[in-house]
Amino acid sequence: MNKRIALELKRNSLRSYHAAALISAAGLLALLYLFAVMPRLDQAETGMDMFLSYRGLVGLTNIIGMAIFAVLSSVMSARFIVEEYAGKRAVLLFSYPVSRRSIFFTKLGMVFSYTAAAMFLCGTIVYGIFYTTEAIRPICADEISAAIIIYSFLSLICYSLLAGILGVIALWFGFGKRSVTVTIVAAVIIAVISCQIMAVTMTSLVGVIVLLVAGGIAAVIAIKNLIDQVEKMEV
Amino acid sequence: MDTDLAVNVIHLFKTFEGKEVIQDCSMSVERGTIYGFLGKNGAGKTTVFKILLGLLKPTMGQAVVLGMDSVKNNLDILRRTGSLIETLIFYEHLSAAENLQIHLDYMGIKNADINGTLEQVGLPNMGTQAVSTFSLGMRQRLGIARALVHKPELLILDEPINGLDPVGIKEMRELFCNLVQERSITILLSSHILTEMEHMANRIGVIADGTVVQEIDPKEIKRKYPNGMEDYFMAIANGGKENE
Repeated sequence: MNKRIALELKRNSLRSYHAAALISAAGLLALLYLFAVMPRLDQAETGMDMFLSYRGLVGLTNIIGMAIFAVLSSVMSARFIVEEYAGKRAVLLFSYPVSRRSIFFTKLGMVFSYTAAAMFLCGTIVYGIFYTTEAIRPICADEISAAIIIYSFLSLICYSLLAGILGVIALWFGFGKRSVTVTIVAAVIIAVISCQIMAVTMTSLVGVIVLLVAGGIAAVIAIKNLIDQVEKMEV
Repeated sequence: MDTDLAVNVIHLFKTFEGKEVIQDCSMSVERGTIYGFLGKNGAGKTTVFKILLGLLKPTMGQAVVLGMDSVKNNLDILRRTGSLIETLIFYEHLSAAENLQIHLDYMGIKNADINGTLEQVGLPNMGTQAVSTFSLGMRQRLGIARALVHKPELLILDEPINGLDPVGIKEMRELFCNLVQERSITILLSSHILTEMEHMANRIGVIADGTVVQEIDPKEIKRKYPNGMEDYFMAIANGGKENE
């Protein structure tokens, strides 16, 4: 498996995805500070409750991060998976004496792992910087505690996994049509819908875990179907 | 099972969306020979090649490659076969040697002679030049190198001399003949360049409308059609079955 991942990396450069992830991290950091400072900008404005607590700020930032990284995942899977199995490229892929299931798993595993790991790392950097400056010169009215840090960490893990899962579901839509466009558009639509759902349970870790499990089940069904499609493919 | 046969196709059928593209097709390729596969565009040459490699599954019938069933033993066949099918796909940002190295990694082969193979096909000292800068002829040579580099027992080459200049065609002809003589490789290839087939092949098979209508020794063709392969091909490719 490791050898095949190394081969995938040899064939496809990840440099542009690293750059996209770093830009996303910078954007998320800027947004997080903007959210934190908003109640101070207009103190007469009501409905700013979610910006007054670290849980609210982290929840909102994670939701936006999840949407961004789900779309990044779809771009990656469109390039690494949909394009490779569409048209004449598949002839080359199926000419190797390696099982189709195994090659597909490697590609999918790489995209999923990269998405989840990239969001987790970017989130860690973003929250690391934010909480450090908050400890020195706080913007948010809330108080930093160990519970808040642990919540941020666990929430980030859940949303990182969710970003990867949403990417897999978007891939299922795009793979059926062998279309890069459908994959990316599906990711955008799924991310928007998911953001709406998440907004309701934003500060509840249990709510996120429930969605993670539901998304996980949907992703497993999608993966099973994708493997069936690959096994039956004729090129 | 005939162990002298590298390829044995038995009453093969392949249907696409209700249309029979290959119908009752039978052919056999002896080990250590060059088999020239002729046919008009759309006659079914590439489809037969793809069935042999397990890229397509036959609707009916059987294809036996190196003594193995093309469906059940697909991966074993791929391990022992080199192929060049349809448009050549490479990792464009990588060099010729890197492309071959990736191919070898997937094939699970270590210590193959990449530089020697590149030299063999007329691509020596390519250095780090990306494949995206290669001409059509160079890409074709690289495709042949990729089919060869893991030292297969059988080569299945779909129009391998397409895009090559006359010098390149002659070099490839010599290469294929040497491979058969020195390494006892079996080569099954298709081409529209009839004179080359006449020079290279030990046996010619003609496919028309999805059926191999004749398998014949090129010497026999020369005897029957002294004006050359073109007359023979015209006579037979339209479906007319001739007795050997």
